[in-house]
Amino acid sequence: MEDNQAAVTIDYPSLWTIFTFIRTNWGTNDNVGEKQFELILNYRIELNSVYTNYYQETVTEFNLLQQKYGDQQSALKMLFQENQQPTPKITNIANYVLKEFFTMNVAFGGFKAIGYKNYRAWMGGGNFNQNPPPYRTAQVNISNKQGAKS
Amino acid sequence: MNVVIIGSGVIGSVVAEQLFAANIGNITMLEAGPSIPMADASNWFNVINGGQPPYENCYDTPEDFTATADKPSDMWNIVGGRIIGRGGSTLHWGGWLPRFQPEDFLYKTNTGQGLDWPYTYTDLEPYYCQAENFLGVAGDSTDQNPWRSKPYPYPAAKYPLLMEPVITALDALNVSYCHMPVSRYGKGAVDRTPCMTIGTCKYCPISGRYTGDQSVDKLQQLQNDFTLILNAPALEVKMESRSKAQSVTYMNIITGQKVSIEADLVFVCAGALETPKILQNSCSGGWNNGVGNDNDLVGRYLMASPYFYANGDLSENPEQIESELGFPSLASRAFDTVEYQKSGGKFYFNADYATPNLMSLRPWQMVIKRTTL
Repeated sequence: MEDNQAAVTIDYPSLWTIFTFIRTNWGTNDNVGEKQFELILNYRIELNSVYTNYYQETVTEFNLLQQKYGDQQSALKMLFQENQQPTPKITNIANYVLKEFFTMNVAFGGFKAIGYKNYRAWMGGGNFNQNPPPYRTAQVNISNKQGAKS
Repeated sequence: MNVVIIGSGVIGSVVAEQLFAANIGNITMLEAGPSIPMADASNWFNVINGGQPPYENCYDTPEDFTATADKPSDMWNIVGGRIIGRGGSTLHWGGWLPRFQPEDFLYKTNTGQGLDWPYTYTDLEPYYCQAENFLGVAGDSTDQNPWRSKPYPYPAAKYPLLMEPVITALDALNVSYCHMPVSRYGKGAVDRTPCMTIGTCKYCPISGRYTGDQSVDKLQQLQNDFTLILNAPALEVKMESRSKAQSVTYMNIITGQKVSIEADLVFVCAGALETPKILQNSCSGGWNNGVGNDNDLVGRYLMASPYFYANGDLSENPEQIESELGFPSLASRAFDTVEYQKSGGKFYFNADYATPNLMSLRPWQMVIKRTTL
């Protein structure tokens, strides 16, 4: 992180509230805890400090929407609604925050709601040699193995 | 003895390991590119979110080379084909490791064209076994096509659900198939992190398959007589005579200075393009046209394996098929036989996946209706 951004405070609780709104509305159940979520945001900032601005921008917009609509749920609904359109209200929020939050939700457990056993970036599975494997396997009869037929 | 190895890729590392095992002097390894963060959390999260892995900064650019061809589609393209950095191009490989078939060594004998290799599959087979252990290959050890004398270090992954339509189709066509051998560390791997089926194989967060940086790490950790110099593209091997090296000159691309280091023994392990360039540029000690280039053949007749794709769409996807395993597992050698070689052409194929990929979709479009296999 650059020196001029070291003093910037990220409002992690507000971002966590925004993140958890996804699981509520999608009916998914990701496995990310609040501390892990904070760690992930820090990794994003570590690689590219401009993410500090993206996160601040999101919290500012969220707070404005709360003031405008008077309650948190309405603000969350509007935040996602206005930034999930082909032409989002605030591009940085749409592309670098909400879209990434959706990805994180899917990758860290949300995929289970769709019926998958494993998914890209899922760390909680296991080695492919374990029994049973940590992914859905082919159930068809494996009869045509190499060498079995000429 | 002062040894210089040019290139920090898999070949350079294997050479270094063997030299240390034989107790042969100090080794200096020259790497043209920089160090690249591998298994790094920040970079991994970036990849998950659609960003590029850090090694892509070390790809060639179109301005780096020129090529000509009769048709644009035939143009040789190396952009994205190799990595100039610590560990070399295995930082981005898929880890696919099928062996050649015995007939591949006998091309002239079987077809009357080209050349036979100077050794046979039988000669090379023990070294295939060593290489598979070095690279940590998971494969089907009962598969004897081609024959093998030792098992793979790790068992093959079971075919994923994704392969069901493919297996059904191959059965209907009477086309045989097999497990594809891949570098993925299996359960119980020693001194390696077993693959956790994370599926972000183009940038693994835990080094669950072989990448060249792992070997360089090991050399730097275990060998006191090992020195790695980064950002140091080799320019020339200075020869004392036709059989003895004298020094290696490289460019320090940070300072712009040319530097020479003494070398009694030099291994040029810089890949198919850089190795001949260095040899051609090494005109001393009686090698007036470059080392090994008396017949002007060094750097000529470069060959590569062509490949092609065939796609099929399923009209629906009731099983919500996705690549839950994360890497290809099924291949076929049905057309990779001596009969096809003699009749004009042979090929090896594997089944891979393209879509669906939830991460490429907009969240509100997250309904999977089709899949492409």
